[in-house]
Amino acid sequence: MATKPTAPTAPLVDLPSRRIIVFSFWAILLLGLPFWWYTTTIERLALPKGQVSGTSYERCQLPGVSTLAEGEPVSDPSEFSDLSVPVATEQTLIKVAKTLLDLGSTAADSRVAKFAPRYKLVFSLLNQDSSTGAALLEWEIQALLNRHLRPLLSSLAPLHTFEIETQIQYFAPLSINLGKDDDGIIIQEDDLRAFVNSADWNLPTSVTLDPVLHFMLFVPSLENRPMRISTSRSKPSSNAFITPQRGGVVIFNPPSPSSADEPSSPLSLAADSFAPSFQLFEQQLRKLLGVPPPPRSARYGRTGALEGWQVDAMVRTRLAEATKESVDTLHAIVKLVDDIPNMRVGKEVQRGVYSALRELDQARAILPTSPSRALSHAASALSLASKAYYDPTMLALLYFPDEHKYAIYTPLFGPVAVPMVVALMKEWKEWKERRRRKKAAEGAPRDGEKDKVE
Amino acid sequence: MLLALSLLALAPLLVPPCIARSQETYSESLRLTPLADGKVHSNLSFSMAGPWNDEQQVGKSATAQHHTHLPSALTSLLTHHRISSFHLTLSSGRWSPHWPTTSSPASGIELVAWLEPDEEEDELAEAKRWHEFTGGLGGLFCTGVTQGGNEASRPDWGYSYEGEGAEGETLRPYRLVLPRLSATCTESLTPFLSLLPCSSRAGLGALLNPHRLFDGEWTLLGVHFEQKGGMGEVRLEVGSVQDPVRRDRLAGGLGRRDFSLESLFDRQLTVACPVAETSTVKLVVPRNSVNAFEIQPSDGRVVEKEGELEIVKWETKQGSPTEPLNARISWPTENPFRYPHVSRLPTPPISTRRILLGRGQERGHIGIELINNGAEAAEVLWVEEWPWWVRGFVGSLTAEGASSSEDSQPSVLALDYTPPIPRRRPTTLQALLHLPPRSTSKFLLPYESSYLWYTEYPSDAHRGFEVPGALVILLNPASPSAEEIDVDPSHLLASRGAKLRLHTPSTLLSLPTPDFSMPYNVIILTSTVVALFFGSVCNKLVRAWWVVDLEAREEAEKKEDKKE
Repeated sequence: MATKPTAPTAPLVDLPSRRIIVFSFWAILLLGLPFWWYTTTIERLALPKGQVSGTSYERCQLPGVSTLAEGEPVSDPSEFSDLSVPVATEQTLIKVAKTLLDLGSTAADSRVAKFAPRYKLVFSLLNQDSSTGAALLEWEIQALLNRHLRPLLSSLAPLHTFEIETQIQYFAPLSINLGKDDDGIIIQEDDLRAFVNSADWNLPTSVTLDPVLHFMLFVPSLENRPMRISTSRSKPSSNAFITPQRGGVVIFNPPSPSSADEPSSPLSLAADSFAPSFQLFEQQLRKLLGVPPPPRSARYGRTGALEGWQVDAMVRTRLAEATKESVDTLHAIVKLVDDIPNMRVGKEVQRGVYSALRELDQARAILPTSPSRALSHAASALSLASKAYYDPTMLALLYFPDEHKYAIYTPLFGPVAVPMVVALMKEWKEWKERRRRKKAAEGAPRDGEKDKVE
Repeated sequence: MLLALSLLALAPLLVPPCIARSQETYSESLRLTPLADGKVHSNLSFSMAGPWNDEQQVGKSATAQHHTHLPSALTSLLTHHRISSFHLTLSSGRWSPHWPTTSSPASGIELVAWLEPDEEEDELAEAKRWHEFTGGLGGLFCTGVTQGGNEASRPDWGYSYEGEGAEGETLRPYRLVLPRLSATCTESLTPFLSLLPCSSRAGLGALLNPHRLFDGEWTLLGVHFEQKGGMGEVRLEVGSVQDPVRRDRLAGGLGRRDFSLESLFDRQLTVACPVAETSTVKLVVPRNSVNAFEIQPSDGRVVEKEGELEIVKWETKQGSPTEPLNARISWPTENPFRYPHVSRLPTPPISTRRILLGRGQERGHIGIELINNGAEAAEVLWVEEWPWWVRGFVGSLTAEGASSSEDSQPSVLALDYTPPIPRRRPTTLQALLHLPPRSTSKFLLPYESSYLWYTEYPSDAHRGFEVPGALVILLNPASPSAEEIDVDPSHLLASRGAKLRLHTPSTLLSLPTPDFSMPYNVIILTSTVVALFFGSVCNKLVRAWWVVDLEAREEAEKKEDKKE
């Protein structure tokens, strides 16, 4: 051994205090972590997850359905409509009752509009081209509504209120191809989905969030009369169709103008001429609102006011629908919040969820005594839940992604971390080294002395 | 008793079974004004009127509103937010002071509305209703018509309620001005066309050709709504100033100023709107034209007097069905058209311009210059609305006149100033000014512009920030009999009426704008400094310090050297 420096004397900073320094640095850093976490975290208020997942649609169901009768479940409400009502066996009566109670759980008619306590009904008189003459420039709409729709609307008062708007359009061009045969102009059934030309027909929308149902009385231009819808052979051709959940269309072919009139002058028709069309509108409105059809043999209930049982059945159907919808929405909120951790959950959302749950509880509590009040609770639960779901603050923070965080944290934490980690590693090495030596000293003291001598 | 019974029996007969509703009406008109500098101002006006707020009951759970001509998109919005009256104008381009007018619209978007008073409603709820209404209008016309969370400016001096009723006195207008325009707002006719009963398929609406309208020097789209005597009237207005001389030159001509309906709009009037009560085309006969001109077609035209103006009028519905109406005017002896000297162009009674002075970005002077061309002294209302970041010092408002004599100095007769609240309320300044005859006056006040928050700057902040133009109203001369010594200036407009309403164009103001990469630079720099400091301190503290005995070591080395 040629160059061996002399062993240095003791260090100025002794080992234990150096260790304290290193660990106090780390301690401060670790103590700071909660503050850093608290100041940078996104506000996520707790949602009553357990309560929401405990709320299921079945728990809000009407009692007693399953206990009524055994046997096959009746899935089609029209099945019982062939019954002659007065003389019925016990079995059929049970069937009827079961159907009425069971309406809510059967697969819903896809044409039925979503439940809302308030609907906007828009009646539009659409002239395809009023400049070619024989157009309908006016209608006695108030009288027509009073005659044909008032009974139905009045008997629906426990469920819905309506806001009606009427308008006349003078130019409503079609965007589909028209066919022609001996009897006039025909529209192919497949083309009906493009019949409503929303781009050119000014169909008003709602100022509020109430759903809108459009009823359109379409008057073809003079050269396109008579116009009808061509359907497959089995069914008779008709002049009206429903656009599911949205409204109904009736094609109205006015009587041809008398030869005495100038062809270009507009027609003026008495309210009676519109009667068939408005009866069709009434039928369409029934379908869209999900009014259960009366028994086929019955003479009542086809038009005009509804029977008590029909309103009852509707209340039940709608109650089940609103409950299911709001429970689903609440589940969706919880799932959404769980899925997107980078999203804020504010007070409004939390409050909305709690109030919706409360309303659902109230609906359940009041159900045995008053189904219609239960419906209004369920409806407000639904609106509260969807308001919470669509709350504008429920957005993932797109403008503060992880890449930006790295860009901001690395310049600070990178250089700070290097000396700290190195110090820690050194300390650890030293500690290991010292332990090894200590062990060696204990195990073979001679060797240790030998080392020293050397 | 018997009489009473018979009366009861008669009662159903006395009430008509169906109350006949008064019909809605629709009329349209086009007015063409050849201007002295060879340009043409065309103004289309579509007016729909009908009974207002007559909701009818259908059963106990339904209410119905019936409209035939009034656009339901607009009516439902107005009834829902209970609007008494509103004016929305969208304009682009610059209105030359030499074009005769009684009212020039604000550049950009201007919305003035009066809300129906509601006793149960407090100020805040009313403001909320106004915000929702602007949102609704934004959805209907263009997304720009919204005001994010700001309090509306309510300049009641410059706007008087034109509806009827005593409550009109207490109503104060809500006003919203957005000087900056995006093309999607002004250059879209679709929302306007959808409000017309015949859209662009028949009647004068067929002339609305966006390629021609928005090619003009100046364009205006306006929607106005007013209530009078239980009737509501919606008036749509489309204005454009076009230059036939330029068009002729582009087509290879020498520059003639002849024009016709077809040359202006590139469309034909073929189909009449079946529901229009009147549909007229008016042409203002040019005055002081040196060269001879002729106006055609001659059949079906009526000549009317309107004040000093002579107007040729055609009824489009009466036009022969075979040939579409193509009103035209030509100057056969004039080729090319020579621009008249500026002094020969008509001068308005007053003209105005915005003044913005100052160095740097933070302070300056803002105001207007008013030129009174008339031989008599004039009283003028001056209304300004500035965004909150322009803080004016109204105490230092100065009125400066060109003339030296004491009695012919301009002066401020009355002043109303609403200071801004940052991010909540804009500045509103209203003043009643006195202008001496044939004078040029300047009204200036110093301002200070604020710093914005980092996130409040738009992406093109260096372009500058638009400040809305000033509104200047020339009042009619006071009638000598009226005692108006103590008249409240807010009622002045209603009592005297406006002779001329002018808006100055909007101006660009450059605000102190930061360097937008600054925050990241600051983060990097501070991080580096902190890291360096921390690194060295940590190193120094952690490093193991030993005392080395240098002498002993040297000696040891020497010994070893000797051994070798």
